[in-house]
Amino acid sequence: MKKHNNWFLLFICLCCIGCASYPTNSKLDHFDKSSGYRFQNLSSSDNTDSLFVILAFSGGGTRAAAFSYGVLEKLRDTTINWKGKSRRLLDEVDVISAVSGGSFTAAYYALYHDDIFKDYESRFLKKNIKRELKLLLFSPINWLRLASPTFDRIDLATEYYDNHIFDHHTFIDLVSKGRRPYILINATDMSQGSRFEFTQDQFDLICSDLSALPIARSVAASSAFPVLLSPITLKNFAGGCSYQEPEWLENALLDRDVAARRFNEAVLQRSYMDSNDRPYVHLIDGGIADNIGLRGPLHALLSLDGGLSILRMINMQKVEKVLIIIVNARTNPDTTMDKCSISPGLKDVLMNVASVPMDNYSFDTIELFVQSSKQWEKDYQARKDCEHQLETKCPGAELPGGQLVKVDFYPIVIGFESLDDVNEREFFKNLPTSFNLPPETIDRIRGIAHRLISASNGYQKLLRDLNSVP
Amino acid sequence: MEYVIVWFHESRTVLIDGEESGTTNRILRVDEGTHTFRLADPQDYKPTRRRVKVTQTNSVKPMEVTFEKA
Repeated sequence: MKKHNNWFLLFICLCCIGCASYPTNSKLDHFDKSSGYRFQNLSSSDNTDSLFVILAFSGGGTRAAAFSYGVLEKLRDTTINWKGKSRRLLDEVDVISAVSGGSFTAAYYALYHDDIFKDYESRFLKKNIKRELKLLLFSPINWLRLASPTFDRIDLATEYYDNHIFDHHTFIDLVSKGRRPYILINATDMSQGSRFEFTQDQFDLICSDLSALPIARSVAASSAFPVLLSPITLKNFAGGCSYQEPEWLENALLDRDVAARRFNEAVLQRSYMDSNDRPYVHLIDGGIADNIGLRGPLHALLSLDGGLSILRMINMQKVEKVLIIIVNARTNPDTTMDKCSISPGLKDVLMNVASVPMDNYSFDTIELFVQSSKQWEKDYQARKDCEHQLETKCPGAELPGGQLVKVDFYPIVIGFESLDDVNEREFFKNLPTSFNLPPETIDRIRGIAHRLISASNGYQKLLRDLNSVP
Repeated sequence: MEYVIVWFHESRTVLIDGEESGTTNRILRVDEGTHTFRLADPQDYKPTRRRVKVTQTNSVKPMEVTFEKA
């Protein structure tokens, strides 16, 4: 009888494990524009708006995570004088937008602030995460769990990140901390190929409460490289929280001819609001939509639409200087296939289709940003010139509308291609995209980040303008 | 980037698409496209809102949106 009981218990256990599933995202009971993980809910008491600092961390596994960590170290060690106070440049960081490997550093910093400098290396950067994830696949228990259609490899990865890196913290912990930086963890909406950020503004569209979601889940989605890791699925609860769409959205739907990008964004946002048509949203690596993490900040700089609009803050005369540091851990494309007449295999095709276009798109994104900041300066100068002409020919006369708000931009783009030494450049540009790099390579990447920031024109100009020292 | 001046007889916060986005009688930057302009309380102005398509402006020739005292 006892033997039969044991078999019965084993059968029940197997059934339970076989039906394993990762908890779905929570339903939002009632839409409240003033609560949840939003930029305006994070205090700026220790961080001025007038010097607005944005960091964009690219994808690229541990290589990208270490590169972005090196940038944080450099900003920690830079003292600035601003508005009569001496402070660390790191304490002025307002927004970090990150993708894939870079999202680990961004999320860790947002959660632990300066403690990142105590244990991030031992807990993530210098740990063989790749091996740890592989070991999970050798566990018979996990074989059974993975047999469930609602539990996949990405769920195992999420559990690992949750248990060993992010300590079960959820977005409510970031809301409770109430301090900047505001992090934009970016994934890609698989069916739309568009950017999907882990903010309450985005989750409002699917009537879901981001607060209860583990940070690890967002980072896992952001780094769910196609084929290697399965997508993350969110349930769409749209229609059940009395959501009121923002006013810009209805207006943007009138703009197909004059502002196609804005129109498309509105169409995309509307697509989430129909949970009958889209009951689920599948997310993969954020790098597919934007491997440099710059699209979100760029939108915030150039548009009044959405929860985070730096343009709005500029119009309100809150922002005087904008520092943007783009940390691009891009490496060389693999051209070994070009040396052989045999067609590349399926694995090579998949890896290239998923990575090469991302790098080209990243280049375009940076160019768009550079052109936008130049146009911004040209517009300002054109008005100044006109004011000067008017003053010369009609003393005392003024252009209607007064002076255009002046904003100084300090763009910094760092990447391994900026390294002068050929051998050094080739070493870094041929590092693999992996969650395992030798500790000494990690240290070298951090050192490169320090050097490249120091040498950048944007950094030097900022320090000159602020009369500060590195 | 497009440019707009919202005229009113006094200085007042301007709401663009429902969000505080600047001040009256000052040149403002907006993104190209259709926007709804309002003023912050009190509701002593007319019309109560203006929806306009902002396009083909520049920093020396902004679009002008005017509200009058009600």
